[in-house]
Amino acid sequence: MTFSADRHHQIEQFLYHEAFLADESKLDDWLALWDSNDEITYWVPCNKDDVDPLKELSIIYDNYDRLKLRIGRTNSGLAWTQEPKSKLRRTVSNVQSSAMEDGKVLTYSNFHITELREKSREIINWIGRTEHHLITDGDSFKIAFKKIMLINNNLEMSQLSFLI
Amino acid sequence: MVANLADKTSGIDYSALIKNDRVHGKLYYDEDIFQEELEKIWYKQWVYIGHDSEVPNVGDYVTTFIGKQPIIIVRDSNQQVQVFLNRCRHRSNTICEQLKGNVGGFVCAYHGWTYNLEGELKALPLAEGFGDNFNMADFSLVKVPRLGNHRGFLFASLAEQGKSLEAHMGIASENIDRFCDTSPSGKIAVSAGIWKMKIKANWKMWIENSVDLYHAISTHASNAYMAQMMGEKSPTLANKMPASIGHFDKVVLRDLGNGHVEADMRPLRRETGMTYTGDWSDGVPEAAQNAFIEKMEAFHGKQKADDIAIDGPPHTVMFPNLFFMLQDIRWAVPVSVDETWLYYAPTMLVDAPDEINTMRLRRDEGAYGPAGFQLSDDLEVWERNYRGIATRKNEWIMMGRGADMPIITDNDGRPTQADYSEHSIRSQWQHYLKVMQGGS
Repeated sequence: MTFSADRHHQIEQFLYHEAFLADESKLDDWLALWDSNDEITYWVPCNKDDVDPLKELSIIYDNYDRLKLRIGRTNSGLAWTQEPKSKLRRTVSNVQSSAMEDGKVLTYSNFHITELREKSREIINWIGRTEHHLITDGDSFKIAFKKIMLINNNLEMSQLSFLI
Repeated sequence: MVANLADKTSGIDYSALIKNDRVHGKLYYDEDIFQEELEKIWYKQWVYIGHDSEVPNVGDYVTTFIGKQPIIIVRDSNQQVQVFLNRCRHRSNTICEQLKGNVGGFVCAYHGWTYNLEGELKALPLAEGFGDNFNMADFSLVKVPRLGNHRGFLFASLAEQGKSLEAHMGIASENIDRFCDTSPSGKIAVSAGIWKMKIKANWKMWIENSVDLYHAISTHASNAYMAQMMGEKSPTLANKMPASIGHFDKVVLRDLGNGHVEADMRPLRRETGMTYTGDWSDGVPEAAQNAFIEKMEAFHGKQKADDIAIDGPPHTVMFPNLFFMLQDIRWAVPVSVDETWLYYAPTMLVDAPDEINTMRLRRDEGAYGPAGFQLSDDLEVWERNYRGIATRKNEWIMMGRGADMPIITDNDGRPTQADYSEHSIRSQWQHYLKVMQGGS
């Protein structure tokens, strides 16, 4: 089932807000967008878009505790990859939304993230497609599931040290 | 006189660049030295290229590189692993462009020359135009001159002659055995996927770091921070963090010969009871844990199974490009003097309960890969290592920690030092010196 234009707009605004917080490295606020139970999944598959996580490797396969650890580490000043922090701007587009059987909102979107690393004066492009599962939470949403399918997940890549 | 050209040296005096406790920065950034390394190391010595479990079935292939040369690893119709240079015998085109897959043969896109899985030229359009003396049997794909397999680990040498793989591995082959013996079938598989990474750094910075215990204190300083975070939730969780300062002084750095170096964790584990997988049992149902132990004992015998549980896998770099650590194998391809491709693969224990292998994946994903908490620190320090090397004053790289301490010969006759010594790195460089001076 697809949503009304207003509802779809609300969903898009949430995705843009999530992208903004990640770009600004407001990671505690970004973490607050997640449903804080152990069932959540923050997932970047490795080698292909569809892997069986019980049998196959991912680049990131975080539950809530590990995601919290990831953010704590990134903010600690001891994660050398992010000292100094990357400058980030991401574009989220091609948003498709529909209702899942369990009442969650399913979205697919494309992203293009430009990462500027001051220390090496490099610009790295991260491009891919995202699947979100969102739980309706009053006027907003909580993220239950986010799967990031990088187009280069099967090629040699540079360190992925920001929250994608 | 092509052979002589290949043997031509740059005239660089390596002994002037490699001292016992320091090496010169030129060794990492000089283009001529990199070219000479290709000739003397990558295109001559035994190089790790892949694991035979990556091509389990007839027609399975993967494409990779030896140095800069593209190769195809394929399982032929007789179940044998073949390794071909990825080059059509006609006009040199690469004949396989996929990273991996399954095929019945290889067809060159350029003029349609077609090879079977054994590399034999089987068909080509308009063959009659090549004249009466043209013999298809003369145009098989070129095989790597020497291919060796030790418990599934594939090594290739592009030199027609040289020391055997057994001689090259020496005592380090026991480390491969120890790695495989952590499995209840004695077999591991590279079947779960491979992290693929690139760094803007010279390949030697990677092998140095991989047997450098001293760096863990600072490079991985965030471990202590994360342990504290985990401790707030659960003190037992905090204990599962990788050991940092205070433990690694007991690790014995062993020069295994031929540039292979082990950071021997066994003395540390035997003394402290530190388990080699962290707490792998976390989240694994008891039935699966018991099944694993039963299988280990059935396959290895009780005594050996107990020893394996304590001693764990080796932490070893085999020169020039294979690294065993914990559950992973890691290997490198030198792309250029300032770029290296790295491959890290958590291995699956063949015949172990599925829950054990799943836990290996989850545990490794926290630590390694391009976003892993441990490895991203290393990826960063390698690049800083390389950026700093552009400076042209005081160009010596110091590796003198422990240089004035005694070297202890162990029961295997191998020279060792402990206490975070850089003996491990010095051992690699002494072998490098020998090879670059024309030795093997």
